[in-house]
Amino acid sequence: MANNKHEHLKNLTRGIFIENPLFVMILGTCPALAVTKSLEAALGMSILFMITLIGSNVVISLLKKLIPEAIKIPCYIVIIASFVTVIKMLCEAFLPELYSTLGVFISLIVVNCIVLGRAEAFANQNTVFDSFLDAIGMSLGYGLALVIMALIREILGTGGITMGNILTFIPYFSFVPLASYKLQFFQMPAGAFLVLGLILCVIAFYQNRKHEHQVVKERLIKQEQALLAAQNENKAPNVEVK
Amino acid sequence: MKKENLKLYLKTTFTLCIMAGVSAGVVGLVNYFTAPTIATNSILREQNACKDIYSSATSFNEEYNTETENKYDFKYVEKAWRALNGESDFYGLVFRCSGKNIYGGISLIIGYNKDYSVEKVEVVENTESFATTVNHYIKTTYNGETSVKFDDKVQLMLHVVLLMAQNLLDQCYSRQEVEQKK
Repeated sequence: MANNKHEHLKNLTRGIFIENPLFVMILGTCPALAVTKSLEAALGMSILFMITLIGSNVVISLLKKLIPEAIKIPCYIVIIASFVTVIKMLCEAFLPELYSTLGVFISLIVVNCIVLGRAEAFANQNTVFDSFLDAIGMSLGYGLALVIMALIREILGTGGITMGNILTFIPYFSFVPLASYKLQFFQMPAGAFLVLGLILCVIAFYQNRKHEHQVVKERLIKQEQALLAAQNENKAPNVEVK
Repeated sequence: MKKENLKLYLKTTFTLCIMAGVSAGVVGLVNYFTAPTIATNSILREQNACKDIYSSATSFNEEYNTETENKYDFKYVEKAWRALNGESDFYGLVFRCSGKNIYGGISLIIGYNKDYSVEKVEVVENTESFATTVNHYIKTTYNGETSVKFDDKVQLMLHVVLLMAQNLLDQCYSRQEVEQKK
């Protein structure tokens, strides 16, 4: 039971940090570069992505035994495309500002590697509940990555944060204290590449440092063990003499 | 053909048919419920864009609509309205123009003054992948504050639309003159 709980928790948290789709697996970079101009657009994309991934993962996991091996990829594409089309229509009807801001990138969720990747690698082989947890974890991880990128780009590019323009259900507020110091470069595609590159650099730096610490720690343990062994060898005859 | 193979082909075909059928049904059902709201949103967007262009206009009388008539046979112009202040003060024409290519579609609302100059251009829909750049360019170039210059960057569609708009405006003027003479 405890093992099961641990497994479920692992499925949920794996996508957020250890296997973050954008920062670790470098998947879904195209929308990540395009929609992170503003925090609101990034949040909107994260919500739509989460609904698609949860829906497709759950349905694929439910139907995994019914879909023949030879046609599983076309079937997955049909399921994912249906979810995306439905979400696109709902978004156009009830969140028109978000629809016009994200534009073609809503339709492009169909070809997002993360969605098809999770369907093939996880939902196809696991239970509905585990697939659901995996979808939540992965979409939270992707959303977190988008939000971090958007936060950096919007603050540097506009000098602050504005909310309520795109996600109209959020009350409007604008906090732009650094408007006169804004660097519009960060609102452009090149700025997105730079921000993503710098974030990946920071992550790589910490991962390398962690790895180096691990190596040093292992070496120290080995040295300590060797020292102890040597001391024991030196002590043993002494003991015998005594 | 072996019986096992036939069974496999039948199962595969059946599964694909069911998948496609269910997906089409779900998409159709959602479309049935959302289509009226989407149409209303589109009209609202049009109206807001018209008001943004001629903020002092009190009414926008429909001049032309491809859905109801096709007398001009223009390629990109879908609708046109007369921007009026009161009953007689005529500011110019507002056009809804749409075009499509392999990258997606774009719909513009163009305010065209009676002196043949562009008042302002608003983007109501742009499904191209580089939409943000195009929208930003149109918004900053045709913002009603700077004088409009046509250079290489201006989209071909806009050129064609403006030529047609001029033609339509001329026809409006000639009709007005005829009406006045009457």
